[in-house]
Amino acid sequence: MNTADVASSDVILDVSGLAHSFDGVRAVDSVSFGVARGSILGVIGPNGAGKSTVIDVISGMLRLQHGTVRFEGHDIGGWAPHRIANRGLIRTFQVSTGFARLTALENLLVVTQRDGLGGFATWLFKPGAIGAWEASATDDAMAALEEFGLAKQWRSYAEELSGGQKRLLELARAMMLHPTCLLLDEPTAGVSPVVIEELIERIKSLRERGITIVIVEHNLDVVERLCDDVVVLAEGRVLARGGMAQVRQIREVVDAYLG
Amino acid sequence: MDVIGPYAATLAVYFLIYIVLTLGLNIQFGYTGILNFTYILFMALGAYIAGVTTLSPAAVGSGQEYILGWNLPFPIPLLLGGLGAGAVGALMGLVIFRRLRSDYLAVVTFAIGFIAYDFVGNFTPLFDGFQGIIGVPEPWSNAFGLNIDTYTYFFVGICAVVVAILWFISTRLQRSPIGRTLRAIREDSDQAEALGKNTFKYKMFALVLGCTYAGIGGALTVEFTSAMNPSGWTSFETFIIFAALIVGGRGSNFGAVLGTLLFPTILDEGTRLLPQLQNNPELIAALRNVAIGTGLLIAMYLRPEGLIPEARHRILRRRKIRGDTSQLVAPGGVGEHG
Repeated sequence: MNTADVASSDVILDVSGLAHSFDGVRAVDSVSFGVARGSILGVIGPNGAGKSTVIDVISGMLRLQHGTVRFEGHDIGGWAPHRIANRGLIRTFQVSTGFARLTALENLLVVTQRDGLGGFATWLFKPGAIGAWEASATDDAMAALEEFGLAKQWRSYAEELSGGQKRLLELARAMMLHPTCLLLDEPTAGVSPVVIEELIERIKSLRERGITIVIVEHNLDVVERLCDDVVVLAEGRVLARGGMAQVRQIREVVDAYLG
Repeated sequence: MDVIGPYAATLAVYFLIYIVLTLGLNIQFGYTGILNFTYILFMALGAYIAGVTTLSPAAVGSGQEYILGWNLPFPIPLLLGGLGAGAVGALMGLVIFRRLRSDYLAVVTFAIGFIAYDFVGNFTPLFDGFQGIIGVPEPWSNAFGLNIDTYTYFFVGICAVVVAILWFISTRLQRSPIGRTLRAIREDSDQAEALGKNTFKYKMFALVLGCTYAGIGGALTVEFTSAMNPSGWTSFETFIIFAALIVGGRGSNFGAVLGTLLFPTILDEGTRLLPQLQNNPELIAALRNVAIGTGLLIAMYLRPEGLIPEARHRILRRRKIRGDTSQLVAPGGVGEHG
């Protein structure tokens, strides 16, 4: 898929007039942008620009105060985070810990199961019924671990993995939910250059599967290599939008980044 | 030898009752990470509900006041005690899980405990205030030709049956997919929520189930001791169950049992039954508290994950991944959104 195709496709995520304050301090102010289906959008800006707040509001972790968020045509503003996730919009976190005291395999299994609490009665009296499902879910999860190069670590606790492996685990885990859109909050933070290369390839391959990606990132090199389009935030507002090369030319962007 | 037998049997009853309490707290705190600092309130609720549904109505002029007085046969009061405590746990969950993060939640549960303590203590029509309910008849005390000497052994049996059932539920829960979700929520509630888990629902489940355990433990207590009043459920009691769980191994049911044996049973109840020293009657009680605190500190220092730490998850079957597994569907439908 090339950039021209992306530009002509529909908007999967549409943020409009987003504003958010913490105790009267406005962190985000009338932020609007759309994300084309199948594209990778970068969100950049200096510290305190409001990037993470935007991600938190879109994913429902922060309650929507002003504006609208539409995903796949649904107004998801004010939805609980789990409901948004189950729609196929999955986020990752800036500090990536995984479920620290769950094994890598369990980290994946935990998101796969969709049986809810109703399954408990079945498990209590007929564990075999769920046992069969567990076995097949385990196969799925192992396949995902293998794909993300973590098969050998299946039995390690998430807290025992390296920083890069935790990032990969987080991606593998998100993929278990078959997302249509991923919000990645600084996926290369605290990761060695070698693993950054691997992450870039992984993210590209996710896009090739048709997954739309919004990526908040400080590493502009990563942004340039991955993103079709970039939104620059500064002091809670959208400063510019366009291709990375284009954005680099804008005087205010350079100023904002240089502080 | 006549003294040792009933003494050991009484300790065994306390041990088993405390296992029920610690298993319930393990579901809340060990599996799910809910800091319920008023856990003992639910033990008390179970005790009061079982007590007033076992007792006949308070006689006029007896000086006693309490609600209900249904005179129900065992084990119905036991079940009502558990269910009642679970229901009140659900009400508390509606308050604490809606908006509060875990640290604030802990403080709020503390406050709820104090409010409940003063309310129950001062509002005498409910459970006779600070005097409490007394004279709750022992279940089946006249059956099977039991006498005052043999009854304690019989009650050990009742407790053992209850513990066996609750142990079964606890361990099944721990190994189930839901148990895994509870542990994920314990590790990071936000991440679990962001991965599609309705964490409110799961936390409510753990809270209510744990409170039901506490209620059943309380019901057993009142059926055995025949009385319950507010001095039986001070915050120290919550502390000692937490201590048992932390020292034994948070998240581990075997750890919970070992911790229960060491703290509430041997150090607390065990030393209560020692003869008092004539020239210093307070000494044993003081030494007991010192021993409990010191024991907790030493255990935390040497074995921070507990004496029997939570087991690394045992995978049911490690099969090689071969072929296309995408067609496999879980109960309730795996892999599809919404």
